[in-house]
Amino acid sequence: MYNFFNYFLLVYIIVVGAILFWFIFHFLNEKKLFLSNKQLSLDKDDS
Amino acid sequence: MKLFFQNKKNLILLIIVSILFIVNLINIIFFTPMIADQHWAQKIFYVHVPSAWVGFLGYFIVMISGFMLLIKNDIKWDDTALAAAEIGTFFMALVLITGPIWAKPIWGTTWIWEPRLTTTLILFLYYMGYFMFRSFGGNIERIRRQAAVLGIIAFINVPIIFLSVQFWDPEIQSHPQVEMANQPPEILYSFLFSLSVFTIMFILMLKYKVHLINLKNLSNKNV
Amino acid sequence: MLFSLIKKELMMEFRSKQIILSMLFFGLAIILIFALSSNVSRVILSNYAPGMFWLMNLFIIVLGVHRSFAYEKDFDAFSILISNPIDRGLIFVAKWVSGFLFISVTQFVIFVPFFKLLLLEFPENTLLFLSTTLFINIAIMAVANLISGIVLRSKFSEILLPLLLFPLLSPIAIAATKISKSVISLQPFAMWNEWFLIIASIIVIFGLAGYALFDYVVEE
Repeated sequence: MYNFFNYFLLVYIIVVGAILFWFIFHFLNEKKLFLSNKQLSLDKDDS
Repeated sequence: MKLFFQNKKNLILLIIVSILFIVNLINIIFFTPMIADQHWAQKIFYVHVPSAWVGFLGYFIVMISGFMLLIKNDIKWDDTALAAAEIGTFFMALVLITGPIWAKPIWGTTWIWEPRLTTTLILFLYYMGYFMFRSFGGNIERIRRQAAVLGIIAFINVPIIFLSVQFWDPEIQSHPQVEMANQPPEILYSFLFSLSVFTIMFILMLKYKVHLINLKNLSNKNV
Repeated sequence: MLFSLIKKELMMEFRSKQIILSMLFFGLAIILIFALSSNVSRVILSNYAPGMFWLMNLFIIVLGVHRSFAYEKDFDAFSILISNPIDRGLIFVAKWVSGFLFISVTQFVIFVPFFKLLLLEFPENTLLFLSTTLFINIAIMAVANLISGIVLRSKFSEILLPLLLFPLLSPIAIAATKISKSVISLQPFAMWNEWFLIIASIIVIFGLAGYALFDYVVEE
């Protein structure tokens, strides 16, 4: 533990993982919103 | 209305950011010098300090957007404010998580009441209140305006908090490596490169988030 | 205009005495809990006394300010107030001044039980202690009234007010504890003048910000 590599690894995994997770989460969210938006506007056009 | 990354420019920006980030990581791991006594733990500051910088930048944009919303009354400023607040809080949370992990090998203790960390904690708590305030419902126009005022108050308080904590306990010095200019060039340039990568990534995240908020507003109107 | 607003606040309080009495008894309840939950010797307690004093003050100020804004919600009095052609920043100033008077009166009364019930000695320069306390009250009241004006209309104002207020009051809490501690231990002014300046700058900054922003805060 003297060279503290574990701390370094933990921090970088957290940071990189969090940023990746942010992008993936928002991408899936956007897909869901986009599809539901398309569905809603199609329904509106029908009625 | 298209998906965000169907737009050519945004896709190019995403690719550039990804490449820069990987280059940054490689640079930090292989090409930055190893400091005695601190070894690998010293390299944490290449992501910890840029995260803090991006967090404060986000909150600064919340204040500016708040001003513009109050002056111009255009809703897109509130969208920018909300997006910047969320991304800023995301990075502040990263600072608060990585801070103790960095402090443990360097300082020996998990938490320390030094000005920057304390300011980060106070702002983080305050913005949790900000998000609760926004989500508690009511007239949306009123909420936008009042949230703008909350954002302005948050940032004008930052120098006050910083100065108070600095005077609070003179024995607690800031983190080492706080005097950037005195650092040898290899550390300084790598740090500046990391800082710019994080800033460009913040800009991409901000644009993406504003687009998502627009999409959500649109779907709320359609309902 | 400002005078009539302040007179209105003071008369309402004079008739019902709600705010001062509730602040007073809540303060006594807090002192009781402090006394019961601190199982330490008098020396340690006297070191911690300034912090506890300001902790109690922060809690009773949250209660008092919330009450002072909440009675405007009855009968929609607030809408009638802001539909008048007055400078809305003056409403903030009136609430600020009246709130300062209420908390000062409460503190003059509660200062005695605080030191007596916790078995501490009175500070030797009592007058200086009380005057610095009043000065700090001005700062706390400025921040508290501005935030209270914002959360007033929301449904959950009772939760949002302390949630938003306490992070903002952190520098004042640090400064207040430092000033009180220095005054109690009879240090000369030069030792604590930086905290005094911090409180003064908070008063200026939040006073101006409150006066300027209150207009946008209370728009319909």
